[in-house]
Amino acid sequence: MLKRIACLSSIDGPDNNNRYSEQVFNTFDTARVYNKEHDIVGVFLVFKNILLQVAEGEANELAKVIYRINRDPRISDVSIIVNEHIEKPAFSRWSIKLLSENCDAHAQHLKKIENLLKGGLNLSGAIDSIRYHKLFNMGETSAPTSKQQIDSHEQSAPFRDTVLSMPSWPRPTQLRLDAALMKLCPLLIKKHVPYQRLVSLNLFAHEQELTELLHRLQQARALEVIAVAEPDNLRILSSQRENKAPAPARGRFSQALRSFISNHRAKGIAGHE
Amino acid sequence: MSRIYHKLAIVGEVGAGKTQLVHTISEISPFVTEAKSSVDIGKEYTTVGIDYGRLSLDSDIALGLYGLPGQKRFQLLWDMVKQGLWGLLVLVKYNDELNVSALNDVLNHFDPMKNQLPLVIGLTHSDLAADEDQIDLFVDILHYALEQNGVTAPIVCLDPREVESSLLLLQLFDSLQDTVHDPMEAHRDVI
Ligand SMILES: Nc1nc2c(ncn2[C@@H]2O[C@H](COP(=O)(O)OP(=O)(O)O)[C@@H](O)[C@H]2O)c(=O)[nH]1
Ligand SMILES: [Mg+2]
Repeated sequence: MLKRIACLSSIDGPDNNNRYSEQVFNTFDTARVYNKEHDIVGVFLVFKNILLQVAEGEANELAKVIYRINRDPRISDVSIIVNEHIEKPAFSRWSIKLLSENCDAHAQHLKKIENLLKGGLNLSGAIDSIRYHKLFNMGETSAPTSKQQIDSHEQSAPFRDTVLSMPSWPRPTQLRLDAALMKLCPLLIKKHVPYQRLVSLNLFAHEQELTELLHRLQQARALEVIAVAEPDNLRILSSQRENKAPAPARGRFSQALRSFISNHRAKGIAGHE
Repeated sequence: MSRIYHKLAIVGEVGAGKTQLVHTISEISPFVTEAKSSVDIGKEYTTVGIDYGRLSLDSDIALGLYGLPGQKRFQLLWDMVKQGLWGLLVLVKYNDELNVSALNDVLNHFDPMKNQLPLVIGLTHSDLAADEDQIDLFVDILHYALEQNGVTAPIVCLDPREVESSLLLLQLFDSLQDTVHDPMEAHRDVI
C-alpha cells in the first residue's frame, strides 16, 4: 500500500543563523542512504531553518521514516502535515532542494509541490501555519528593504562564508564528469578553498552556475562544506586575491587541444561524421 | 614557434582497451602529418610491443599515445616513455576481480603524486556490467586500492571504442594540467 507523507520540522542550528549548515546535509544524507535502501522517494526542502520532507513509499516503510524523523536530534518541532494514500508516486527519486528567495526555478518547483500537497494538507497549529507559509510564499515577498536585501543575498549564495573541499573525486556512477565539473573539481580536490575565492576566479558566467555545481557535488557526497566561524577574515582574503594577477594564460598545447575538441564535437553535431 | 610534443601513457592489462583507445584517438587526428622518421610512425615502439599513435593538433603540435602492457615485467617499456609525461591513464577492465597488485606496481613505478603527473583511472567494459550497483562495488575496490597507494585520481567509465568518450578523457587530462600552475596553489593550506 502506497502512501505519501509530508513532515515539517525546524533545523536546530548552533546559532540559528540563516545559512545552510552541515546539520542539513547530515540530516539529508542519513535520509538519502536510508531511503534508497527502502525504496522511498520524495524531496527534502530547506528554507532557512525550516525543513519539509515529502516522502512516498510503502506504508510500513513510511511509518519507520516518521519514527526516525521524530528521533533525529538535529531537528525539532516535528509535525506531520500530510498523510494520505496514493495510487502512484509523484517523485521518481529522492532529492534535496535548498530554497532561495528570488529564484524562479525554485518558485516553480515549489508551486508543483504545493499543488501536490494541497489535497491532503492538515496544518494543526499556528507554528505549522507560519512555517508552511514561510516556505511556500518565500518567492512572494514585497519590495525588500535594504536589510532584507542583504538576507536574500545570503540565501542566493548558500555557500557563502563556507570553506569547500573535495576529499576525493566523485564516483563515476554518481556523477559523470562534464566540462564544468572538470573545471571545478581540480581546484577543490584535497584543498580547502573559501567559497568567495572560488567566486572571484570567475570560472562561470554566473555565480548560480557555480552554486548549482556545488550542489551536485554535494548530492554525490563528494563535497565537504565547512561553515566558517569568522567570515570576515575570509572576505579580506578573497578581496586580496582579486587584486592579484589572473591565472597564467593557457599554453599553446592546451589551446590547440581545446579547440580541436570543440571543433570535433561541432562537426559531429553538424552531421559530417 | 617551437614544436610541442606531449606524451600520454596508457597502461593496462591485456584486453583493457589500450590498442582500441590509441586507435580511436589517432583516427580523429585533424592534422595528418606524413611520417618523416621512424619516430613519427613510432616504429621503434611498435616493434617492442608498445601501441603507438598520435593526435596531431597542428603542424607542430601533437600528443603521442603510448599503450603499455600492465605487468611489472614490462617495466623496461614503462621507462621508455616515463620521462616528462603529460598524463598517465591506467585502464582497468571491469570484471569480477581487480588485479590489485598490478595496479600497485604501475602506481609505484610512475609515482604520479610525487611527479605531479596527472592520473586518470579509466574503467572500461563497464557497459558489460549487469547494473550500476555492480560497477559501484568495483569502483569501491578500485577506490580503496588508490587510497592504499596514497593516490587521489578520478575514476571514469570509459569506452575506448567511442569518440566522445575519448574526447572527454582528453578534456579531463587537460583540466588536470591546471593543478600544476594552479591559481589556488599559493593558498593551498588556508585552513
Ligand atoms: N564492450 C566493450 N568492449 C571494449 C571496451 N574497450 C575495449 N573493448 C574491446 O575489447 C577488445 C580488447 O581491446 P584492446 O584494445 O585490444 O585491448 P588491449 O589488450 O588493452 O590492447 C577489443 O575488441 C575492444 O574493441 C569497452 O569499454 N566495452
Ligand atoms: Mg593491444
